[in-house]
Amino acid sequence: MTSGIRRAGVVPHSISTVWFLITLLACSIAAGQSGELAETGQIEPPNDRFHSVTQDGVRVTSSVPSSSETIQIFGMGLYARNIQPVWLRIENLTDDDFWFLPTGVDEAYFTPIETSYRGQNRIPFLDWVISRDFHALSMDMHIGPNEARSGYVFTRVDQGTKSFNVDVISQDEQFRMSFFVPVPGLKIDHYQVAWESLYDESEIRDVDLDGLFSSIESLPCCVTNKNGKSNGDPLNLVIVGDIFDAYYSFLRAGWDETETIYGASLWKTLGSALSGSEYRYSPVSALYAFGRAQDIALQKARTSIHNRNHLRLWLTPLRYEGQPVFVGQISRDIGVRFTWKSVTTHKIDPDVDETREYLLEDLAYAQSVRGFGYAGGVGAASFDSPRTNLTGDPYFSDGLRLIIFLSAEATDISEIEFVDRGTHPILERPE
Amino acid sequence: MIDIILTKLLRKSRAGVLAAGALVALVLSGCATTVFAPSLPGASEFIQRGISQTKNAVEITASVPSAKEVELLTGIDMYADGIQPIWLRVENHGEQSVRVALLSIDENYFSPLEVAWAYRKQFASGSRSDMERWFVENSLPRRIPPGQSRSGFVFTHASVGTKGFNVDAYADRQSMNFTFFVPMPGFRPDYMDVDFLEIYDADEVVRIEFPVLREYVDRAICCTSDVSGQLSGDPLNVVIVGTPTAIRRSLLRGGWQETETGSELTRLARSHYYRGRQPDGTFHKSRPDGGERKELRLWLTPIIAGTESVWLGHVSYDMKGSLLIRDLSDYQVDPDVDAARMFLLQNFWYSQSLRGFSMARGVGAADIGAPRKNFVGNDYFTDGKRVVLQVSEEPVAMDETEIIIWEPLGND
Repeated sequence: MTSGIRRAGVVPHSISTVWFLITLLACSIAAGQSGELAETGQIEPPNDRFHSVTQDGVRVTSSVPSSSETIQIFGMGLYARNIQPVWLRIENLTDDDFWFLPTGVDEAYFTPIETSYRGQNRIPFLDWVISRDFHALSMDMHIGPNEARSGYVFTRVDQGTKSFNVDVISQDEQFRMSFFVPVPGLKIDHYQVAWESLYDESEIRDVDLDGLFSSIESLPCCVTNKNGKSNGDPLNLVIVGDIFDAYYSFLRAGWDETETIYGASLWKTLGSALSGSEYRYSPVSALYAFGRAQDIALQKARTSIHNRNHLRLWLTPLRYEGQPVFVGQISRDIGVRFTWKSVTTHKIDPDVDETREYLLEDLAYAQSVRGFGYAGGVGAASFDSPRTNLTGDPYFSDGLRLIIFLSAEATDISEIEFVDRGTHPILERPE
Repeated sequence: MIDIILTKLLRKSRAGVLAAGALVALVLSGCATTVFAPSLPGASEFIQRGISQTKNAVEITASVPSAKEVELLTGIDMYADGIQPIWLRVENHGEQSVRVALLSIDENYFSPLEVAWAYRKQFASGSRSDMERWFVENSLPRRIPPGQSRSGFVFTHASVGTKGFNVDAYADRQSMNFTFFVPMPGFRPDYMDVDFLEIYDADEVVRIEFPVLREYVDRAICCTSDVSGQLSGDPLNVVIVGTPTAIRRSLLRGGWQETETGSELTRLARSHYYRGRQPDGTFHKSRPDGGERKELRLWLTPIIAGTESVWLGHVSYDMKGSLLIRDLSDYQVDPDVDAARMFLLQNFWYSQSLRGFSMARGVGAADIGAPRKNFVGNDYFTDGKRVVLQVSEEPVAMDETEIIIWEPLGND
């Protein structure tokens, strides 16, 4: 079971936008294209964001309608009910029976009639005609020999980029194809970063393993405010890996993209903090390193309750084995505080090492980690004499940075290498 | 958890920022005077209920305090907010250090200080730092040095009934995977009230080999009935073959929750009968983003395939689970019962519980254009098939599950 996108094997190093990469890797095809294979009548999404992946014997094409396109197709808004239809066309190019498993797309997918029920505001008496329409537009599980089927799978909403697998099985074979499909709506910061102009070629430093660890130790300890005069949260995280790998590793582990706010729109955050609306995608504030705001900001909602994790990454001028090196900061929000200084702010878990180790496990269970190690550079602060970040929240730490070497291929947890340079995190206390 | 309550309140009332400010001021002005005075976890009664397992050189003992025991220990009612602490003791008898992956226990576990922060306002400000320290010092550290042991809490999301969870531990190029099922005092799952040995007389039991099972499944009664046995109820669209342990593990791995004897939640299920009996066990699985849920009702049949018991069941989407008003005459089940059947198949498959599966007949087809009605008057349509699930006690990788083609698998 290899990812179809990975198989394409094109991983350019200097790119202007991730969007470009997606269109390059999952080759776009024109809407409405029909093969010679028989197919029943279906309403395709009215857009040109069709992506297809082919493996031996099976071709899968997907397109995710935006919120407004969904209204065009189904005559009702579904995004507001946390339902995002994903259109799929699966072509069986073999003489065997194939079955499609919607759980791969979303383990909590909705049935067509459940969708209709939510769409109709859970009224006591379902409109049977509407329900039958949803049923007719939904994706079949069975795809006969040399047949093509298309239809919608009803999933939970992802904004920014939708990442999902399409799992297709026959009696003897299993296919797993990964899709990373942009959904219009969010203004995502890393689409706007001109990666190749961040550093001149003369500034880039290729380092070996010794050089990597010593360079990491001398990176700035912490993020700063805009003028660089006050220190904030510790930069306790280093990611070594291609931009593409880094990006998809985090999406695979369930992280979401986000918009960055630069001071002005705090009222927007306040509204979000209070209403919980669009919570997964509410914008994050800018923190600074290398004299600029973060290059990538991601967040992960942990549960339906009001807490999530934030991650910010900056590209460094370092390069290890041809791969870029990012430095970053991760924090776990444990609540909302109201301060006059910044109207509303998230209270972070003072145990920043706990949050750091959480991320290692999170990426490891998403099978994205090849190796990890530790280096100094943050500076230790104890529970009893903590340091504070820019919003006055205390934190304590063993002072180490976690270095994660990402893997382009799925790596089993038991195969992860500990890059032992003699520095070990504490992560324990005497019994 | 004030933040959550605040959010809920405001979401409901759509109140403006001013109202929010007023509420915040109200909350902030409330001063707690209670001092945080925890007991020693080691001396608590729940420790005595610990269950131990050993893999390689690592021994883990797990015990789970009840809601009352958590309150006795900390003065905090964590269960009320959906937080369930698990106490683990990890003994490392090996020569390498061992790392416990907290994420393996609950991928959305709560950090110790997150829990402390949520309850800080219940305690006098002077004792808050003691409280924070207590939570940090009594949490399970990730690293266990060689030849030593560590113990502490991991704060998980509360589940109903038996607490089932994994613990993964790693040493250099070694992984040790534990699965625990910890019974909870005060909770009696409905299946515990059934005396399974007494259901069938010895002469009623049918012993067959698995390949012959198909004939029995195809011929088994289509549906449940009402209490009188006269009216037809819901289609029996699921067959599960396995040991009692394998079935419990599959359900827990798949995220199904047990129900309590006589619980209001199972009133609907208990109106359905097979061989004159209400369900021997009823299980629920809720959506992560809403209250709609799936319901699975299981009955033991008199058939034994090989050495394993055979269960007959009904699975459906209970769409009204999200509403507070539930009435037998007013409930809403997704009429597409095949969708629920295929969900259960995938649920067991993706959670690595399936040794094999196949499809059989026996329900009788009903087209979407001419649906059948159960005795309550609810419509359903189906291709008339049953899914036959052979469940395993040990995890089975997805590509090792055997697909046995009796009837075509698809819903067509």
